[in-house]
Amino acid sequence: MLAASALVEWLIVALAFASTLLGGYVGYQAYRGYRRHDSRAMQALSLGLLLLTTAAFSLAFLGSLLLREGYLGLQYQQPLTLVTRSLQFLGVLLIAYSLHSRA
Amino acid sequence: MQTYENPYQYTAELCSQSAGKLCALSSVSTRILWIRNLWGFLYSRSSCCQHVSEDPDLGALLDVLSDEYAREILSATSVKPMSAQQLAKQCEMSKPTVYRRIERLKKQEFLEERTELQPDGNHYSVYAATLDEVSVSLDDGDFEAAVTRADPETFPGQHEDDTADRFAKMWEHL
Repeated sequence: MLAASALVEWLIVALAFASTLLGGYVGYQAYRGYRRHDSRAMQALSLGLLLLTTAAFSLAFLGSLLLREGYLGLQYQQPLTLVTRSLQFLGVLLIAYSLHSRA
Repeated sequence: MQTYENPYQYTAELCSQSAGKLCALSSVSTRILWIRNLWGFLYSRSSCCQHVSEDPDLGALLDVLSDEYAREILSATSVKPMSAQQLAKQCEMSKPTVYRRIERLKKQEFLEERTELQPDGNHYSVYAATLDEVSVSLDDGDFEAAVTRADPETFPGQHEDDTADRFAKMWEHL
């Protein structure tokens, strides 16, 4: 039973890490698209993707690690979640803006 | 050698030539081709999409291209697929003129017709230029013509080599 829960925990960490990497890759391609075509839509998209995936994921990952190991007090849990959610919100906001911006 | 535009056509022919087990085999290869098509959709490279046909009917070919309206339709549809209505408006032609030129261009396979599906059921056709290059050469008393056709893009930027370019064009034309 203990082994199963450890396995699931490991899987969660691995998936979070892979999402960060893949999100970073998509964001990076969008950023290159922006540099190569000098397009505002791609700028907003790459920023949004990086915030939504890389920034929010890394922060949440790092935060939960620090909380679990006891380097951060439990009183930081809520602010941390708030910041993560804000980053995610900003990310999707930028992507939505990118969809509607022309030129 | 005969070239097949559509891989399904090829397997269909295989099917009619052989019977039983072979036919089942070719339906498997149809599936593989479908996967390859999907792969090509995701990872298209510009070099993969050109077909050169030698010895076309030079007279008919030049006949179509000598027509100013036909050339206008070709140039407009090489930018993006357009319906007959849009062509009539943009190129300032009457619709019968547009349809007549479209028929001629389609006969030479310079244009490809696609059906644009609409949720309300009023599907309509759009046309995309497939012509890439025509070359005519005179050598030892013989005219030789070659037509290079390119697969029109099914989405903007499809033939771009770089992922970032495909991404940018796709997203910008959304």
